[in-house]
Amino acid sequence: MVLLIATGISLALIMVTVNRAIGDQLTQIKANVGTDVTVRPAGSGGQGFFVGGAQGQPQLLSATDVTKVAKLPHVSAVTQTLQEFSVTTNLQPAARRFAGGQGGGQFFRQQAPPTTTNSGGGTFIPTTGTDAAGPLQLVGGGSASVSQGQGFSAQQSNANVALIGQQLATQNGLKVGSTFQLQGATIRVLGIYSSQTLFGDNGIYLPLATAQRLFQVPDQISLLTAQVDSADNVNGVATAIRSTLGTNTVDVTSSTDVFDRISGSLTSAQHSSRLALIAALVASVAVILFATALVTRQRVREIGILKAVGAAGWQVGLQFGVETLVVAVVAALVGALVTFPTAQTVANDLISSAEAAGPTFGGPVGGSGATRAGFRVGAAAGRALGAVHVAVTPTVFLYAAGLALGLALLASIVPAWRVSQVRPAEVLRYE
Amino acid sequence: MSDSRSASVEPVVLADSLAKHFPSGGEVVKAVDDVSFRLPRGKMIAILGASGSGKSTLLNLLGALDRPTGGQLLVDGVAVNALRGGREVAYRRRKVGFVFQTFNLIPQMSALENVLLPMEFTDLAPREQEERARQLLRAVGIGNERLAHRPATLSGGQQQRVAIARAVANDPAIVLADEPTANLDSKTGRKIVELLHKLCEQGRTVIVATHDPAIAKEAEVMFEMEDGQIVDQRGGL
Repeated sequence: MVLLIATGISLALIMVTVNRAIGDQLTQIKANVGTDVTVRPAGSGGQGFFVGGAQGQPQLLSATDVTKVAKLPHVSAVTQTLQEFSVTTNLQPAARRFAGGQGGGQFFRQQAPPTTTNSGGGTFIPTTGTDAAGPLQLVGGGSASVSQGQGFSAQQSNANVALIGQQLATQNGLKVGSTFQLQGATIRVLGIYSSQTLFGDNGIYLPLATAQRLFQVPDQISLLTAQVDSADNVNGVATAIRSTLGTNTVDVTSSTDVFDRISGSLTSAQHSSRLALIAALVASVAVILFATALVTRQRVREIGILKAVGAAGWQVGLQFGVETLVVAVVAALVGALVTFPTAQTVANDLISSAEAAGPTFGGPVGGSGATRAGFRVGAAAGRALGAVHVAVTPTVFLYAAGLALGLALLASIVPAWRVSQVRPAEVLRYE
Repeated sequence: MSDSRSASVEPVVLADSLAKHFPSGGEVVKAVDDVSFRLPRGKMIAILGASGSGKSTLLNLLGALDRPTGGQLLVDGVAVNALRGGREVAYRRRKVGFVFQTFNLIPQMSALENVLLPMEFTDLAPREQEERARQLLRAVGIGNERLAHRPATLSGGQQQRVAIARAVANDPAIVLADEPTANLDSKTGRKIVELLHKLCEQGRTVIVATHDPAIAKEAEVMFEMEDGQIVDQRGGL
């Protein structure tokens, strides 16, 4: 009986533990994704603003667009970014493979010729103008901090200064205080950042106004990021931006969209685990009822005797209930001991199954489709996606304990009730 | 069994048109069908009949293990047919004791524990319970060396003695014995019947359901049942 009930309880405990672990992981991913809504010109697809426009016209957002978005309810702040990948410069890209191609969306796909200029006449060095404070948001995802020199100060908002990637600096022998040519201007290296990635370190960061001046697009940007005051308002703000700026004018990507895209496997696994939890609960209840019914049946004569010698129905029921409860609690402990080492394997299997059913994470890098902002948060969240750790946290323990206690009570109440209903004449009739 | 209840002709059981009918396979089985009788206190009463004649059902009605579907049944001043819930339990606890054909001892319990069992549902102090249980077991011939034995290690006769001690543990007015010698050899059966007679001498009414005419012959009152009805009667009030 202990084994049967333990099996039933462990089935349910495994699934509740796995379900909880996946739920926690999704919450963590959601927290990583944040509350950003990114806005970019329609069809720009995350490429440099000179690349994707009709008739060669740049695709940019205006200062008016920025103002409109900043005034929307629940938008707590906006950051502006101007990005270009093909620039006129005397610098060499950090690696030969970045030297060819026509834009950021193509740098992965061919053997690059040993040249510093692309077919459009520029050099492939991702260059970003930004007004964002804090760590640099990298084009390919992730962030970086200044490792040498310093970041931009408020007084340098339109100065010819830059932060350059470590690899780019090494390739070109640049140090803090060195100068280089960009778009016909002499730029001083204010700081050097390191991202630990070759692609990330092949970049230049400028103050936003400096970038707008050098690229001759005053008051215009290629990417606007709106910070929303709460995760609950992200979808509402995204809809409001589409409505305000027009769906033909801008592409809007919310962190919720990104979350849905990158968390597909986990969400699918969570749905599977939820179904499995329900199935496990049903199976547990069935197993427990079967086990207790079996025991009650085996002891039905004893029940009849007890009643015949003067025991009340509730007394016999209580005795059987307590006995079964003790057995069920022991079984729950056995079940828990079995559960927790097994739960990780079950979680891994569920996620593997969900991933095999259809890839849902990520998107093309730097090209059309997913935005780079999506990739950025996706990269962070994706690292979390790959590792669902089933840990016995206090919350999980409380869930498991509550479930085990509920099943143990069920295992004791049902036979107790059944025993109290036994008529002694019926069970003692056939001797 | 130090009780010195005096035997008398006062009726301890009054049955009037007592019936127990129940449905079975689309038909109504009349296990006990419109029987009426009066039984004297302190006597041995035999209910004789073949298997299925209704004698065990009648015992169950007398012991409130089952409820009649019709008629009146008064046992030692208690209207048994009207008993429900706690009063029904109290009646079984105080007024009647059972002796079964297959002894029906709890196999996990010792002889002593089996006799203690009915007393656990009373207010008697544990020490007094044990003293009484030992005394009852001695009275039926179970010595101290057997008190800790479980039923499986006792002979059939010893088990039935333990069962008789258990039946009188709460000092009931009536002992109901259903085929108490059917599973015993004749010699052992004889001793069990002698024990039941001793209960009568102490003022208890012993009602024995049996198909053995030899036991019936020893009873002061005898009913013969057939198809749920009393077809013959000797003695009684």
